[in-house]
Amino acid sequence: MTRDAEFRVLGLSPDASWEDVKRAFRRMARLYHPDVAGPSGARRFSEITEAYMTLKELISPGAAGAPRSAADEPGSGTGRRESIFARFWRKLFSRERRKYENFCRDDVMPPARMRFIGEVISRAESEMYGILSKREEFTAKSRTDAIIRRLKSKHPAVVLLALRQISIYSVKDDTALALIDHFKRNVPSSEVLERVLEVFTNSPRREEFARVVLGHLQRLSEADALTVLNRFKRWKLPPVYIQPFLSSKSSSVVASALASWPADCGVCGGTELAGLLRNDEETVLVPLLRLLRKEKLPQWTGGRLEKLMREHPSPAVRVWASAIVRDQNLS
Amino acid sequence: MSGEYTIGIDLGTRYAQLAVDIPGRGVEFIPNRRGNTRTPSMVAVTKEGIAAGEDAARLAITRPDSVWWDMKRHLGTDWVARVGLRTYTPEELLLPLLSVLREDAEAYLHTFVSSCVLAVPAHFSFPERGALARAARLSGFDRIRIVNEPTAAALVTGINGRFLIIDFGAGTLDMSLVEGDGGVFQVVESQGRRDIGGLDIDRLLAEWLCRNAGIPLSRPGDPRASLMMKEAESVKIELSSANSVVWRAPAGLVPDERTVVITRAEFESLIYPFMEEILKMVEKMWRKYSPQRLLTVGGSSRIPLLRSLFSSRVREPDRLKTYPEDAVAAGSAMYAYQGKERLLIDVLSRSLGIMNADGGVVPLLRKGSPLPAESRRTFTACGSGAIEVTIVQGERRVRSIGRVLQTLTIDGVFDGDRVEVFFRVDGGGLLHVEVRRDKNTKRKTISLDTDDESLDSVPDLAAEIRIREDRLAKLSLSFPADFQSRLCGVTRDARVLRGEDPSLQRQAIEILDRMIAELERVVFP
Repeated sequence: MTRDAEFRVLGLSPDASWEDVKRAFRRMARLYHPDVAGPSGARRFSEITEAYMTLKELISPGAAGAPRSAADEPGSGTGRRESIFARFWRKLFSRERRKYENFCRDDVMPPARMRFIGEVISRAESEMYGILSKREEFTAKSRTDAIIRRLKSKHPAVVLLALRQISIYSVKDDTALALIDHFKRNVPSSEVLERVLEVFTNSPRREEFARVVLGHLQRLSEADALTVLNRFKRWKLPPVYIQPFLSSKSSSVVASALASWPADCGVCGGTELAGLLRNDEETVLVPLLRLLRKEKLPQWTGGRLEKLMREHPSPAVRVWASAIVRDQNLS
Repeated sequence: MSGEYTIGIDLGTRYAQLAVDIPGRGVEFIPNRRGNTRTPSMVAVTKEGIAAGEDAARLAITRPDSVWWDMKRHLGTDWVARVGLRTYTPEELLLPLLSVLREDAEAYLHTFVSSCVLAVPAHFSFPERGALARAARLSGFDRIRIVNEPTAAALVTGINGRFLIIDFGAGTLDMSLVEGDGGVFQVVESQGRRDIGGLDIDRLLAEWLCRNAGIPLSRPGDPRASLMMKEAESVKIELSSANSVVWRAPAGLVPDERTVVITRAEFESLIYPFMEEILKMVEKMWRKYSPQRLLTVGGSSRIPLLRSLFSSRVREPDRLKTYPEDAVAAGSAMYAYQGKERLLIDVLSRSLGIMNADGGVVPLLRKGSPLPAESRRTFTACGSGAIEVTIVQGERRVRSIGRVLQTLTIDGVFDGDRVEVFFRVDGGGLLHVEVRRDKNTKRKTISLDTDDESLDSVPDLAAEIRIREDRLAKLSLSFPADFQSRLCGVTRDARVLRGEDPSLQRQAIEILDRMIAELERVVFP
């Protein structure tokens, strides 16, 4: 390699100083550094750095190699002679190459060969297309991994971020498992509850998730409990999932649970029934009594029912209670 | 899809700091979950799991034997933390800390963050950088760049001309000589030492205080030792502005009340040997390059003695106008968004090469090469069987100063086989090495990124695709225009895969290879 060539790469004349070289290098770097020009500048940048490093060893003041001597001075002695030869060979080579290219262009390719090349290219095209479409799959996978990693976080804001990122339509099994695992440890906040329920609507793991949510039922607010209950009803979960709502402290939750209770199965056992009957709210008692009418009630309920029949302010409660007492001869 | 922000992390020995450079809004410092912009670089291993950051700092006083904060100093060594029967490597301890930092950034920016710039001490070599990058990758970062701490700080200065920037923090002393030229900052040389830092000053001061207060010196690991270090730190900071400090021994250390008076002069004579060491380093750099300005960043650079020594023997140090305290974090955040107006070109601080048969070093990448840099060299095997390729750092013979980074072994080599070695240091400061044996046109590739496969494969594959692109371009010279454009389309598709899953890229390379082979048969029958 001649020194001229390095100077030319940096756009300098061969008598440029080391300061000029540095300045030129920085100017070129501003154009071709991979951080500016992207990966397409990489090759050009490595040429520039190559030239820069060679010149650094030759002409920088601190270089161990050689300070400028008369014999090494560009434009005199060996340097020039070499460069003339190099130029000659390069010219010769480029002329040859141009000839070859022209030959290929002008030469009309036989149709069979054309067809073959066309086939090769179109096969490669379709294969490449296949890979590109697989790429979507891979991005989806890495996205899921990112979400699952964040679901495991202890930082509530990060978990919230992950929950917002979950696509509600196509939740994968691993995401569902991570969500279930997360909510085993944490009470769902009202902010995310609706969304998580939506996510599980089409998931085969929704019953598993429902059990996890029921574990937190006592800690949910009234509005959240109602949200969950309504969703469970829409999912048509069996009564065993609704039953825990009957022991809720909020009468509107209990009423809502009773209102949708399927007519063909029993409400509940003795202790829970006693608790429910002790309730004074009309909204709870009316659906409860309507359900109880079809059942065989134990004798001890008689006293409470009679009391309701006589004393309850709501006429509907009085009517239903008296109907049960009459039918089942509880008095 | 994955986070649009790239955060800058200054992973200091004592505190970690996060910053993000939001285009149009400038640099912002990211508060952690407790609202502080500095997160203690501490990790605690407890029965309930690993805690990092603020949570770990709380445990530091009560359970000092399960809390670590100086993992960074031990990266790349054999050091392990012992907890019961388990041991933890520095990387394993850094992982939860980096996760905690990432989560704080995500909570602040309201989006997933998966790329970062990590600032590391200048003396970190490739194994340390590789180890840190691996920890960052495992903690959820996909794109990682590594920058030298003083170099990052240089980006903040915006100075034209030659300057020396010194970062004197809690754990390390680093300096970079940088030339600024209208927004382009080119690093000339970086140096650093891991054995001088604010913590060493704290330790000296703690010993002095104990001796003078008649408190028995406690061994490290004792809860009282860490309490003493905290006390020493606050006394040191106070002495930067006060002439003398009355230190009262905290109630946990002694049964009765004891006070010690320390004057600034006493403190300065205590730390003078340290300062002399620093001065020696700075003076050496100063003589070598004669820069125009001197800048200091980092907490320990506030010590008045250091400043007065600089003024009298080197030069009056300048204060940074913007972000004087947090220059490293701000600089790393700015490094994430390089452009035409602001470009930092780092250089290789030591030569890289391989060791030849007689123990000499054959350099492949020279010291001072601007990054990213790559180099390819073919060697002829000497002797048959398995050969070892030893990657070394430094110019001299290995026994003297060079440092062996890694040894790769390839077997089944015959005498006279050609072995190609490819070195690449990417813009992110990570080293990729590839060794290929060329035999019967079959190539065997062994590569490493300080023994992590997932890290190195992506950039190398991109280079592979580029090589094939070139060959196709040459082949297609003789083709009609529409074939040429279709070929361009195929290679463009392959290029789009850059940065994607490595297995996909390998498939793309296979397709290109098959196509090249078939086309070559037609063009050169």
